[in-house]
Amino acid sequence: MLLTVLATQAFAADEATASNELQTLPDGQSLDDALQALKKDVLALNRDLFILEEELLFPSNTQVAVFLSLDVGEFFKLDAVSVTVNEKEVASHLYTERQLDALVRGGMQRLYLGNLKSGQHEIVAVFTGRGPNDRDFRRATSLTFEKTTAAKKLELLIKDETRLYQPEFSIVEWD
Amino acid sequence: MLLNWRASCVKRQAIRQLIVVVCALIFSHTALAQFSFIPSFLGGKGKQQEEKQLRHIQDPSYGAVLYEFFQQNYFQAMTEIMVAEEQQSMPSHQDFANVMMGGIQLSYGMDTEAGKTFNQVIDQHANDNNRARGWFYLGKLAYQKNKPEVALEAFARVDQNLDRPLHDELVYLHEKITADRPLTETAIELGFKVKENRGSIYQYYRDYNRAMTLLASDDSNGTQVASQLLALYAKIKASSDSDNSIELLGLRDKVLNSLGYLYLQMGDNDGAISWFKRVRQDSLLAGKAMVGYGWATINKQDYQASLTPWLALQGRSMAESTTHEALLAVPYIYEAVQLDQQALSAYDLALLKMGDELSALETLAGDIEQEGYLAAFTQSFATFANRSGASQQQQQLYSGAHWLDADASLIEPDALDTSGLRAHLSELLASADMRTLFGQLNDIYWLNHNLDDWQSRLTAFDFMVAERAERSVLVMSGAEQDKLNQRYQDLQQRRDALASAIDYATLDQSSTAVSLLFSEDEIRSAARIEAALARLDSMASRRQAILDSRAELSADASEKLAKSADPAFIAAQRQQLKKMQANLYWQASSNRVARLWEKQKLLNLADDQLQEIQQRQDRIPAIANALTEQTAYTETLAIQQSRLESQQNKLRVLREQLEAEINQRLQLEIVQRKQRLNAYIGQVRLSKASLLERQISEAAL
Repeated sequence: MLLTVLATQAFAADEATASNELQTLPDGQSLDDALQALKKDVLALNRDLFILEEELLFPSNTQVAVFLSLDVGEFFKLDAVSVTVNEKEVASHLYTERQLDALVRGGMQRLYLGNLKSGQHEIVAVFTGRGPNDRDFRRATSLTFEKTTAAKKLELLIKDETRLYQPEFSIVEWD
Repeated sequence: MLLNWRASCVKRQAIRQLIVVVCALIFSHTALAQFSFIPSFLGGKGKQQEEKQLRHIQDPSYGAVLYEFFQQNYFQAMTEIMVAEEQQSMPSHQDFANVMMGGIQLSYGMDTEAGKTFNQVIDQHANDNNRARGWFYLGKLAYQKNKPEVALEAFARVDQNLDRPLHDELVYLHEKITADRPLTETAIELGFKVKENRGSIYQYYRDYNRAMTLLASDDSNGTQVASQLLALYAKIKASSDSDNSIELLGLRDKVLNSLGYLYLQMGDNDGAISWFKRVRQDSLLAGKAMVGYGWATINKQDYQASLTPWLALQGRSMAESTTHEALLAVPYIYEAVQLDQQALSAYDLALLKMGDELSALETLAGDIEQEGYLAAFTQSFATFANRSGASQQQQQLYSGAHWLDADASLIEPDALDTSGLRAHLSELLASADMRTLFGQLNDIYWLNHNLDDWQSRLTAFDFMVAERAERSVLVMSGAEQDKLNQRYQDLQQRRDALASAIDYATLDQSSTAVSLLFSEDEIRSAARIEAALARLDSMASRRQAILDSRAELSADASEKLAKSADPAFIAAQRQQLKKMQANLYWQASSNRVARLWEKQKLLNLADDQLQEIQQRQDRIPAIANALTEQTAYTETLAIQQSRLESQQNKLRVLREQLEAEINQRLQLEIVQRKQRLNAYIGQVRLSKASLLERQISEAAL
């Protein structure tokens, strides 16, 4: 219901300018001002629609989100990842240089957003890429987790194990 | 006389060129300042410390924001920040996310919103670092809006907590604003001790600005300015800043060009030539350097050397004003060396090229009137929107990155070639105003594309919600509930029977109890055995009855009866059946524990099914709520649809106005170019006439 209230408020805010459909710019408003105001409105609508989409397609009681992050990444260059939940592939991704760069700099990719019923589930992630000494490298990691009625967030974490000069792969549960 | 006019014209041209170069340089500083939010986050190795701080992620939503941000998907990054703020899903990073939001807004042409965001950062008692950033960006915003006093006030509130790259930019901007203020104004000092950073790119721009300020001052001394520029040139040459190497190369060309024109102004033609020669051939300033070189060699009366740059310039695009200048200079040089025939040919060539350019401009004006070039742009944008031919870089530019990349071109080469704009109006297209207008047009295309995308998704949501509502109605209907109740009762009865049977079979060892443990096959076998025994009993009874009334049977019948119902046969059959029956019971008894367990499993299954039905019945109120929710979603979708349509309308209106504005600018430029060309044509005709007149006079003598 929060959504409806939000949407109504946002609409009310829009309505002030939209009530008499804009055919020309209001007096004294420059093109730049009008475009700025419109950008703000479109961004607000974009936000509300994203939230609405999430509520409709991935309600929090069944929602599972899987993120992927890199920490340093000197011993492993990620090429691709594939994720299976309960033995069914739900996501796979091939990385571009720009995406890898964003990950190396601290970004977290929202790799998968889906629905699972409450109970125990198993997630398996398979990573492929170039490992130490530029050799082909393929590793898998898995986790059995409990899905409750709260939204679940999991993070596939690739980090350098500097002691062993090897990459380390793990799946972390966020509260 | 004409020669004198030309000589003075040469000097005026040179001074004008110098002013043009200076203006271009000052503009490029402004551009640098405007687009410098990104280097503070996206820079090279020097920014590693800051990135390490950014990497410490406490909320995945913040990580998702950074993922988009570092890919320069700024529109998406802003949306992620707004969604996270609404859902309160990144409380640990909200402060910094706001600073980031303000920075992107500032760069995305939303300066009003950026101002609000930075004020919010300051008002919300963010940490020292973010407060310093907030004041810095507010100051920068004021500077961009041409409010230098407000900018200085904001800068004065920044303390020592500002990050290094922003610190350098602030010092640069502070000095620039202070230098532009009247000396009578009271100085507004920075609130912290400036830390010199010799490696900062802003140091080079600061030095350049100082030289240009000195040049513009009344008591300017060319030698002093030259020495400052020379020192800067040496510093750039010695720089090992690989992160900014391209920018430094551009600045190097500017310094060289300025030095060339300065030496030209001071009458040191050789010095000027030596500086102009060092400008890179692929530099944006190569044309201006060639013009300078050309005039310097003319001043030296080294006409042969002078011809080389002018002829090269003459062959370049007519969109460049330097080409027009070259078309005038070449015949002038031929005349100077008394190659009259070549001079006449050069005049003719100039007239021809200028005439052609006039015709082309006429055609282009017609095309602009018909908005043909806009169709080409729309087509190139549609290619991107359909994801069928756009590179990743193009996609980023379209989605807003162009505001942050001063060198990015939004205008597709193909569209430019088709429309002819590049061939004739490239200088205008490269201007800051036109870049802004095309940038805004691009944003409108992008926003519209985004809304179109949502439009189709909203339609899908609408179907989905309607489907869910229909399903809820069905579940809520009486027939469905009756079926559920009937199923529950049937299952309950079977479950109770099974439970009693298990209890009985557990406690009792009798054959009846054992028979309860039979499998389905065994039950059927037992039933068949029972039926066969019953038939045998019947046969025996009937035989007895026949025997009791033997007189009534025929001889044949009596014989058949005697054969088929032989007591021995019946007895043998009964015994066989009893054995089979006993075997069945024996098997069941011997597996009694396992069979009891199987039955218990069946019972558990029945219990689960009953529980499931019960849960489904319990969920009916929730389904009723869901139905209400679907109705609410339907209303929400309708509201969002209405907002979307309203914004699409506004975009349409803005687009039309913006296109009209661009058309007007292009037409105005065409008119001005035509006027200039006509003036040049007049000069060429006059010069040609004078030459012919001189030839006639000489022939007459």
